[in-house]
Amino acid sequence: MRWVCYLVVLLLSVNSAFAKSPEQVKSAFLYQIAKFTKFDDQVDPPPVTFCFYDLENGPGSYLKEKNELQINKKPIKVILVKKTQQISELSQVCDITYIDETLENDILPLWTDTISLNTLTIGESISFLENGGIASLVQEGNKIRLYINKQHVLQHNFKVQSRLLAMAKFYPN
Amino acid sequence: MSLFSAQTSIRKALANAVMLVTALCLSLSISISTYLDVKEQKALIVDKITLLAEIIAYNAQVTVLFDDNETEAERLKLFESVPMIKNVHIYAIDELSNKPKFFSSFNAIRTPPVPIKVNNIDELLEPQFKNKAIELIKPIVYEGNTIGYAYVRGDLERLNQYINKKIFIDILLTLFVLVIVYFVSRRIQKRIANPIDNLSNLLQDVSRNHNYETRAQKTNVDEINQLANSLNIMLARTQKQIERHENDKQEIKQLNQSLEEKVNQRTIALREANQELLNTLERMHQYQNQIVENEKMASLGQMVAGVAHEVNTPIGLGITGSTLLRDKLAEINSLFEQKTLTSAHLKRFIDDGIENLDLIYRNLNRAAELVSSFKKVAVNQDVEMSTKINLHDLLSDVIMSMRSEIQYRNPKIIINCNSNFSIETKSGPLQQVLQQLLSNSVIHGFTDDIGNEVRFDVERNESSLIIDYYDNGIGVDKSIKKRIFDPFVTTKRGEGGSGLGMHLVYNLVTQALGGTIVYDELNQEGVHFIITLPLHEGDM
Repeated sequence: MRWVCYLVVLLLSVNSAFAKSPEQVKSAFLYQIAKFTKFDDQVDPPPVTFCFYDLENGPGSYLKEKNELQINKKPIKVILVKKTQQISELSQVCDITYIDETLENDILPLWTDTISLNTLTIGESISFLENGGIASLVQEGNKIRLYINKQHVLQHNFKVQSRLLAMAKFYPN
Repeated sequence: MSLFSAQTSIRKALANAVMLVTALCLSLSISISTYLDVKEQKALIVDKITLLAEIIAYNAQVTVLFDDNETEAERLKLFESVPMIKNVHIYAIDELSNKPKFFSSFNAIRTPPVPIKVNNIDELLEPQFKNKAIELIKPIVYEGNTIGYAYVRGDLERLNQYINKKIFIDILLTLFVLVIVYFVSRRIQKRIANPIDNLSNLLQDVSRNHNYETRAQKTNVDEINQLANSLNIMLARTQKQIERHENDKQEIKQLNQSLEEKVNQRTIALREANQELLNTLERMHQYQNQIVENEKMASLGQMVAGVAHEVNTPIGLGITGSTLLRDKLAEINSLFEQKTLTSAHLKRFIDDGIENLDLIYRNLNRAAELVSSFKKVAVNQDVEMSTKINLHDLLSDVIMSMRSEIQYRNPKIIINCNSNFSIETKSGPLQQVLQQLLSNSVIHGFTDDIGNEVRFDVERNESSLIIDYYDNGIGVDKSIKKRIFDPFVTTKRGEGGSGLGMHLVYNLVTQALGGTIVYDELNQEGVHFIITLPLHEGDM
């Protein structure tokens, strides 16, 4: 019986060792969201650029190592941005800007510039959507859910494919 | 076979044939139509389920990518409005094990869930019809990579209902058509069968009542009209033929009567002639018996004459000798009484007496021999029993026993006989026959002792044994060839021949041995006798 318990524990530990972490899932989701989003090519020429405030931790750390990935035959690019950069600046270089939950309260108040039509801002909480964010990867239990603020999406130049919208949850409804 | 050989009527045959052919055609047509229709419906269902599966797979791309099974389940609920879809499973490829795992599913109302099909993916990539359902799995491919599978189970209830409905309608249609065909065939029957019935009744009337004056009426069917015309022509001809036949019959009757009279007359004449012939035959028999009796008497007379002739000579000589001896006795008695008897007289008397007694003795002996020969001819040979003898050995024994007798003519004797030939017969008579033939050749056939030859050829067939006897002597005189087997026929009369030898041979062969003997008159040199003896079982 004791051997069986050891075996179960071993299997669980191995499984958890190979299971994806939430950050990895989020990085994969960011990549997939970019696939279902059509960016304005005139403003944002290739490559597809992902902007992170931290490349050592979080989804950015995983995505930066995947330089070989492509989206619609276009390479991806991962860059580090500063907290002080205005949203209008980010909109010039970033197709997707990711802000983790710990920075939301620091960064969002700084974005006084409202001209940010070309970058898809993705956060990690519902409050991010309430404060002007477009999408959010919210962890619900062991699942990561995509929430989208439909009103904000309609105000930007990029287009999110209906298939993604069909899967996503809207906030506010 | 019995369908065609059984007794039936045209009406029934026509109706049966029409109904049968119609039913067969309809059945065949409906079967083929139903088969093709069902095949087409199945193909449509396959197309439909394939299309639905592809749609489901396409829609599931995003939910699988974003691991959102709840959204997928919500979306799959939309298929409640599609009655055909009963169960849908979405399987996502697990990134760790790279194997499909259950992701989301949909079960229609009042439809129990089905087991997960992750182990049957390869099998279900092509549509499978199982238990009144169709199952299909389509891969969920995103950017060339299979990220999952969509399993769809469709219901075939509607197809089955459609098939049942179609079959029901087809059967109803078939019955309807058969009813119509039945009434149509009845109508045709009436048009065709009634005239045929009329013709049939007419022919029955003709056959029962011999009413050849009746004629068939015209109808509204051309073929039957032709038949009626032909029948009328035949009836007319038959009527004429019958009239002619009646006339001929009358004539034949008259001829028969005259013929019978003639036959009676001839019969009487024949009977009389036959009676006359019988009488003649009776007379002939009488004459024949008379001739036979005469012949017997003549033969007996001839035989008695022969016997008398043969015996007469020695007896006559005996009488002469005894008379001479009587005279000599009277003479010596006279001399003795006169007392003039001398020794010379006595000596001469004794010599004459001895001579006369010798003469008497010789002739009496000769007479005794002749009588013995006659007895031999008449003796019954049947008393001897048959035994199995070897022909070659018998011939050799006969030649050996007669060696001294035949030696003075020195004949060369040739025996052509298989050494294994044996026959069951009486050896004594056969030996006697062979000895007699050999003796005749030596005594009568050969005139000197140079170049003489005797040959025995023995052959056999299925039923008899044949002995051919040859010699190269002077042969038989022409005058006695025809009578060679008759008694007392000889060319050596007065020289010791009695003429009974070949008669004895004939009697022995025909009576004692039960065979035949023939003298070959066509033989040019010497003699050739053919003796045929019957074979018995076991002879070889």
